Amino acid sequence: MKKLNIDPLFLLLSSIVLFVLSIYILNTTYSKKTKSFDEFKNNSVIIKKYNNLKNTWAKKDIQAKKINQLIKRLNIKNANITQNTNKIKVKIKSDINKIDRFTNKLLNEKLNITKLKITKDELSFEVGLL
Amino acid sequence: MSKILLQKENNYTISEEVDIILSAELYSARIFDIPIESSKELKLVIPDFFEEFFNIEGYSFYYVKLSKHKYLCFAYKQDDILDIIKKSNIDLKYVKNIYFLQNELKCENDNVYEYNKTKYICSNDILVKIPDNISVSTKANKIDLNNITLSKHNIFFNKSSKYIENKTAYIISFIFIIFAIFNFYKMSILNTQIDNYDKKLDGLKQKYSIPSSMIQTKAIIGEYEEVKNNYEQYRTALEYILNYNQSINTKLEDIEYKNNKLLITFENKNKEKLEKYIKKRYKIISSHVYNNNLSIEVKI
Repeated sequence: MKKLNIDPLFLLLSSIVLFVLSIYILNTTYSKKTKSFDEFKNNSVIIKKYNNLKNTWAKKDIQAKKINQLIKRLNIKNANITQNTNKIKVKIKSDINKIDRFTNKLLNEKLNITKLKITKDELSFEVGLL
Repeated sequence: MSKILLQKENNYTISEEVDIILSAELYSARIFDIPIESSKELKLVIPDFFEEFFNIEGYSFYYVKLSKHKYLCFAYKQDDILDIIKKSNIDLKYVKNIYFLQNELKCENDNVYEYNKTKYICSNDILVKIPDNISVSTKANKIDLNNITLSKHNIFFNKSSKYIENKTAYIISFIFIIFAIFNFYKMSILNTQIDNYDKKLDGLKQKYSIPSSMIQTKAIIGEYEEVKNNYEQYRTALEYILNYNQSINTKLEDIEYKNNKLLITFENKNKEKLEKYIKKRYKIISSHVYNNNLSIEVKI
């Protein structure tokens, strides 16, 4: 009749301590998980917002592409485009109808227009690059 | 490790773990023929066998199988033994295992044994203490503890509590341990989820080439939003002013936008009316008329 050589009261107290400790650690971990989830959720929103804004406003190639597409679509021949690291400068000379149509399209494009000058036969604008 | 033979009214100086052999007066031993094999059932019936001899309240029991259906059974009072251990100046923390003298001596019938002036006799295969006032002529064999190789038959005492049964304590401990294990298992699942969130976030950061710090990312977002707001503001302003132009069918000469200011030149038709319209929403920085044209500078 071999008996377990552990003091039952010691075992009982140890198991209670272990249980209480496990609850404490579980609660701490649960709070950590909630915090981690909130952080993940918030950061995901920030990351997606960053990505959307970057794609719309900050991609230099996309900004240049939008301008070139507009010029091609409206078949504008006399367009002078210069680009450096900070901005794209565009000067278009054409008749008033084309200038008008181009202006309408241009203002509907999401471009960081920092300067815009429209006269009867000339349109010039600058798009800032981020 | 040392051994001691525990007798009533002895004093010891112990500073290391000891095995205690209980003197015959500290327990009651009987040989019973019990036609049972199962240890579970034996535990239940042994107290009934002792009940024929004395009131078994407060007693614990132990048995050794001698042969088929023949058992050497022990009854002992744990609390009494613990009291004697304490009175003998033995700290309970040094007590390792407790044995019965019956099991540790080769009990040959009518043999007399002696230890510390106390004599024991083996009668009907049971070792009993000979009362001090009875003299025995038979030569006694001296018990040498050093020559005793302890058997595997030892008992274990719950030294700490009288208030809870060992079995109950084990069951409750088991339940607590199971719950603790379950909590630790749940904790490991939560930790895996936390790791997954971190990994997913790192994956998103890599996928969209996000700057390493979120503060930097937020600062860049602020910059982009400023651009977006400017875009919306000048579009709204242009739309507002051009709507007026359409309604009165005035001729727009040119428009210039720079540094959040709009400079618009109209064919001058009605300066006051136009200014009043613009002032409803925007601040007019300057307005002047030249060559029949009205030039208005508006802060967006």
